[in-house]
Amino acid sequence: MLRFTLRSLVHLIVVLWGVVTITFLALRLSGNPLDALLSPEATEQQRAQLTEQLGLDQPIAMQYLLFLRQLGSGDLGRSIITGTRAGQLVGDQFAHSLLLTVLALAVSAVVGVGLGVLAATRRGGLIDRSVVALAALAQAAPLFWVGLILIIVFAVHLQVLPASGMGGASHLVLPVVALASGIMPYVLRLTRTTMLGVLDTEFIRFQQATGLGHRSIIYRHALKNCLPPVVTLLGLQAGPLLGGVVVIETVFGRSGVGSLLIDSIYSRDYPVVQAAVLVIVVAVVLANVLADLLVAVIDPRVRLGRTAS
Amino acid sequence: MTAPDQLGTGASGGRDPGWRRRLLPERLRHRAGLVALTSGGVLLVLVLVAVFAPVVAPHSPTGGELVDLLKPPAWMEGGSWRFPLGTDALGRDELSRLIYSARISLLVGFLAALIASAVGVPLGLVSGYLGGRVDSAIVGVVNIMMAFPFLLLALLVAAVTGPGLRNVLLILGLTGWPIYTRVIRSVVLELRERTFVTNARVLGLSHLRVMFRHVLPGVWPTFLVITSLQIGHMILAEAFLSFLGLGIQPPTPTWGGMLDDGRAHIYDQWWLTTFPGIAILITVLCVNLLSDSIRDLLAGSTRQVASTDEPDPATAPAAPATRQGDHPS
Repeated sequence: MLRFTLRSLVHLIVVLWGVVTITFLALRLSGNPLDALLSPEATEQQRAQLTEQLGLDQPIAMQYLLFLRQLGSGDLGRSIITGTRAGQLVGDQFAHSLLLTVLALAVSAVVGVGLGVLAATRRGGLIDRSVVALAALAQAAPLFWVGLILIIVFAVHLQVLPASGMGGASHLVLPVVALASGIMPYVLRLTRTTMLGVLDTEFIRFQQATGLGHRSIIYRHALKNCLPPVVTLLGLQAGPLLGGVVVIETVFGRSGVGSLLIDSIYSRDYPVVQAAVLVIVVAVVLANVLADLLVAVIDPRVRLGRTAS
Repeated sequence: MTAPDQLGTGASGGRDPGWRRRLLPERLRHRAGLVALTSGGVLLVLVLVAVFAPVVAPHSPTGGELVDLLKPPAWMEGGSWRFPLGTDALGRDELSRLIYSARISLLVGFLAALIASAVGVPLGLVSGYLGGRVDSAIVGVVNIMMAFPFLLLALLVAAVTGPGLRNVLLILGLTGWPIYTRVIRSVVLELRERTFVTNARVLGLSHLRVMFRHVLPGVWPTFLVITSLQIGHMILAEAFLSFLGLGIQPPTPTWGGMLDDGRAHIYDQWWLTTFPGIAILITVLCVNLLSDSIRDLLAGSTRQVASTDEPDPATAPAAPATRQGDHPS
């Protein structure tokens, strides 16, 4: 267990370092940051001042080290617009986005696994085919468009749910459904495939032979064997999910890291952009580690510490 | 505008099994074959419509009369067949804009996937074939890149480089390659151990020659499957960027941009947000179905049912083993 944790930690640090580097390169190498940070009317003096402040007069390698040192001390810079610490700005919004993400993950897990099992147990039937078709449709629809359509149907026409903004639970329904629609099909398809495979094993045949009830076999024994790959998939879907949060928060006018990111991009507030991106990516990486741990807990066949090559 | 009907029915209709036997080669007769033909047919129509947009579109996509603004679709009250799908806030014909947008979406989807593969395939080939330190280094970079959510990375780069067609192509191409490297590498790892490769080495051929002349062809089926799937991802990503105003800029019509425009009129003019989304949905659906059925056809008919449901080519490289016999050994 200790070795597993250590390995994950090292992996985590390497990936984080890489992500930080990519962010740095993307923001620095794609042009002079001064043009992005300052208005075109900025005076020569302002330019010189900012150049020194950001260390842009240093060679790029120096800048990179400086950047890493700043990060190491937990300093993500300050917002150019408000002067607030970028880390704090992002931290304030984090809970909103986390709530949305966790709810969407839960909904897609429950609906995806449920429909997947339903389809697998009725293989080739009408239900199976409709469920598979639904997954194909959901997979092809951009999730921000799903959000817009949900607004049109439930907020504009039926007027049963609010279209946008923050508020109680009712404000969460549409964004969560829209966000879940992005990853639910993947969960569904994987569950269905895995379930079909599991149902075909000796183990399940044996159980049927012993006369256990159909339901008991499916839900108590077969489902348990489907869970590890599904949990791994859910961890891997954290990336697309958080990518989706960015646009869903914008569509539904919710506050959160995503809408903060988009707003900062529009206002060219790069320190905040950088902080938001880093926080999201760290969350994604952590989600993957968490999924790995969870799989090890569910599945006794995965022996921790033996995963090393 | 007659093209869609002719091709559409030709691909999907027909109940007589004899028809299938006479017209289609053996591989295409099964369900996967029909799905491939139908989705491929629809895509072909889309491509033709996009290429011949000036001929097909009833109006200009950018010029509109203000007297015509916000007209509903033809079948609704106040609509007219002059604008079958209505008009937007500037009086521009929605249908014509949809047609012209197909150009951008298909172009970006195809070219971005091509750029991504141009980077990703050679890296995967080298990584899997050579192994050792080169492999570890490439795999390390791929793992880091894949920890970065694709859309977020694209967004980040788009935010800095600014919008525009060329930038969108480069952004999507240069952020989309790791999936190619990862999958191609896993296929090459397997191919490397096969006799025709070891024989080629024993005959004294150089590594470079073995890699490109003998291993590369074996990667082809997998490449087809990932590329078709990536085209779908790229189309969605372009729509995402354009929707957020970071992709291709107006007045060039794009489906994502049209959705962004439509958002302002979501309370009264539902068609402005509905139709561009349906266009994306149909396109990506056909690309995905085509990808699935290509995989099934290449995998052979025996594994058909199971293989339609694999979630991702990354976890299930498309049975490249099926065609190895064809390669020189």
